[in-house]
Amino acid sequence: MTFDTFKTEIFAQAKTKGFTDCELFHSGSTSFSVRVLNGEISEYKNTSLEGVGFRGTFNGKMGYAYTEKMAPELINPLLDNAAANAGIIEEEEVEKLYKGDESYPTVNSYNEALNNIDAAQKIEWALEMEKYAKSLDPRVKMADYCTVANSEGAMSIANSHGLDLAQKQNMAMAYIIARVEENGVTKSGYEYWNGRDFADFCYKTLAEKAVKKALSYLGASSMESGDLPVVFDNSSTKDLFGVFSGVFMAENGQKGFSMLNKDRLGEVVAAPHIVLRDDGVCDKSLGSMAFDAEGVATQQKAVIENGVLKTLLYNLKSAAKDGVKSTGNASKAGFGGAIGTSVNNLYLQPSETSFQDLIKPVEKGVLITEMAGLHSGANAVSGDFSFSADGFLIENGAITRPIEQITVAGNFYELLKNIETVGSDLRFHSMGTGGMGMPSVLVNGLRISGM
Amino acid sequence: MLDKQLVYDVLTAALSTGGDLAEIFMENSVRDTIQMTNGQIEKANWGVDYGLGLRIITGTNAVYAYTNDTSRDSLLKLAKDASQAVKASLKGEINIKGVLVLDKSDRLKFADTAVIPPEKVVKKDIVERLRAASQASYNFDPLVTQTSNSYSGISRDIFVANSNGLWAEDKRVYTRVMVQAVASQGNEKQTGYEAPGAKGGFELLDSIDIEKIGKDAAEVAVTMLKADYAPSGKMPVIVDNAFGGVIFHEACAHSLEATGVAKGASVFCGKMGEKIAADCVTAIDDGTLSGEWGSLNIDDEGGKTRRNVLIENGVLKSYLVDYLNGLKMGMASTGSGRRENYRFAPTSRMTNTYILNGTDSTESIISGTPYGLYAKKMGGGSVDPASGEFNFAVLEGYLIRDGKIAEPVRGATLIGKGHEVLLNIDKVADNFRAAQGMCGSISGSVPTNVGQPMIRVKELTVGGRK
Repeated sequence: MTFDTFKTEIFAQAKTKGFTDCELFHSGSTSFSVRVLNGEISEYKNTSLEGVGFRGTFNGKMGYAYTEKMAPELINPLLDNAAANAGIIEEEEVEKLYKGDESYPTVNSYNEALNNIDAAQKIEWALEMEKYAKSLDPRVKMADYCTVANSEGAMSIANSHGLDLAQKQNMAMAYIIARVEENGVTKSGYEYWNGRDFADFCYKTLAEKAVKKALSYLGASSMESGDLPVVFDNSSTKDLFGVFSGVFMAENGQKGFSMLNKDRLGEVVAAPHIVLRDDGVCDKSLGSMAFDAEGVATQQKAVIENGVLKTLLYNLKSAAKDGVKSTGNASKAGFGGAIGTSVNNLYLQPSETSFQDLIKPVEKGVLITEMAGLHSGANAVSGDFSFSADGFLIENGAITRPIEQITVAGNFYELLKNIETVGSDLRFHSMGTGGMGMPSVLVNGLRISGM
Repeated sequence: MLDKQLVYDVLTAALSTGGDLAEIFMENSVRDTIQMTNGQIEKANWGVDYGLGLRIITGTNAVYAYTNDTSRDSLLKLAKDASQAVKASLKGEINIKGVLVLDKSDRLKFADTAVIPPEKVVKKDIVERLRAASQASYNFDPLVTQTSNSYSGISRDIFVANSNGLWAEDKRVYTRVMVQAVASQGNEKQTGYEAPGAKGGFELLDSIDIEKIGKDAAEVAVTMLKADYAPSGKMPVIVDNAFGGVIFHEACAHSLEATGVAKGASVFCGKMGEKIAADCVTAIDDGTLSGEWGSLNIDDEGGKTRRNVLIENGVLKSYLVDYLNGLKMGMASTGSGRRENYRFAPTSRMTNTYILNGTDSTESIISGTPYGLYAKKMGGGSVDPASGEFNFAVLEGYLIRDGKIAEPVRGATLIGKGHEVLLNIDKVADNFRAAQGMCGSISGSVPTNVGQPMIRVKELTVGGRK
């Protein structure tokens, strides 16, 4: 059954069953990846995935159901379960379908040329990348998860109010974990590339970066515990903001799951030089989008400007509750998800300060380049965190030795105020639709725990 | 789930250019989720996950492809495309293997033992249980300001067939509730959390006291609200039972998975028969336990699950092995091939992984510890099997002073290296309990049980803020 027939059928049936309005969210993706190990293809993967999410108003409440199987026999159970789900909703704020905006930003997130690279070429790159990484240093024991991949996704939203939107994007990526060994100790360096044009991809550069990183960790040991200035490199800063991005969602504040809410708009929540933006269309990110999961046009906006909280991130329901307009931040975890809130492209505005200049004033501190336990070591409600970390000791403005087996602990809300300097090395991590980009930052007031 | 002739044709097409084994994994899963926030139902969803994954193994390499479209044309195209990939990856001569006849008499078929499967559950009953948990949290203490409670019920029909003649069908029903309470005072907020689950139906809710669970979550939140930050540095750490078992899960068992071991990316490579843990440690992975969250009739490659002794009195006895990695290691599968769904190729994973009871009493362990951290409830964690470096979070912790449990402390993460920590376990008590979790790896997120009695680690790095 094609999606279009499925849609026509389900809209007609929904009306008969008593839904006053309804919507189908459709998304599909295809992907290719090749992973090599020891000169052979260890995994070759070709995938295609498609599904639809239905939501509709039944007795004034929103009911949900989804399916990956588009068959006529699914229409009744889909609608009946959506109606039953609507029947138990108790929340007073009602979720509503959107009629659409007058105009939407133009987004170019699809590159036809990406499809011109055939599998054989990608296999060759992966094999060459592994071979090259192993040739760089005798201590390289393995190039693990050596992968070249690309993917393509399309999504559309159509509802009974006439909303009919579609967008698609594609992306290519490659990654490698260099594992090096010295004196019986193994250290790993992970590097990835993502882009929209394989012309920007150089397997040599990626392999070199990964090997260099892994080698730089050799000889690491722990350090004494203490309160020290900490530099998070751009990747760790992204991890940190990734864990706590929920604090900026209005729905969390409304329900008491974030310390930030509409009463705090206009308040100083970060150091005076901090600008945190969330843009729907963002040249630096691969994840630009014209509309969000409810069909609301995305915006360009500062969440924090000069340290002051300017806006929270809203979907239609949380916006209605605070008496404002949606900021175009509705999200859905694929066709199977319910409407929530997410960032579009969240980034800290970079400064002119180079990485070298960022660490220069640090007499004794720590550079953190890897963090682990992100999902478990954070209390998303209180902002408290304690993460396992690896990195380097900074002494008199220079990196002196690698460090392992430490934790870094603090509180995210306090950290925002304690960012001493923001670097210039903004790097976006893209997530298909949306993304997050951070430069390195120097922060005070954190606890390092080691020996 | 699929017509026998179609299965045969797909497997044949998959091997048309060579390859040693072709395998089909198909599923049809129906999922119900209900989310209550602050005592009100906020979200409810129902859905069908449906698709087919095809794997072709050649030597020790694999081609994997999946789709939701299971029409004959689509599947034959999938198989043909995959076979072209096999051809591209073959270096030597092409060896075309036949597909064994899928005879009815060989078919394995398992039913689930769920008494009340998700499709028979009345939604209002779920709402009542969630409300009872939320209410119990609020009633425990006025400092409880928010609650978040959810239910998920999943009914999975899976089907595995391969060119060696395997034909297996399994039904798996899962039920889980999550109960979270937040306590607040001024600018401080702390949370408590419980999430019991079972491989079974809604009868789980009759076997547990949901109000007590709501109260317990609230108690942790309130206790932690009044707690000071944990200290930092190395000290003895006592980890209690149930979810405390996450220490073995992260510090050891992940590194015993063939995923890392087969390619030499684990600290436990080549250690079979060697002493890797203290004498008091015996650990198992047992997928056969009835109704347990991590149990399975068959793994996701169609192999029977087993009770695998991983460590006996400190000596490494077994890795966790799936079919493909087993080929690389020259070992048979231990019934450990698992995947989240048809979108993932299977790899070696845990089921119910436990440290077994020892001989120490909990009282003697605590009274024998002059100073240290008592981790009563643990959260999740992670590990890098190549280096053995692991971490996990303490949800409810106390300091131990002069052999007594003293003031509560919060916000601690424990870190260490698995191969070092296992040798540093010096006490194992006799109060075994299991708890449920979701475990992530390259084949996705799968339900696993962790479990242990109270143990003591002589020295572990505690990452607090003081």
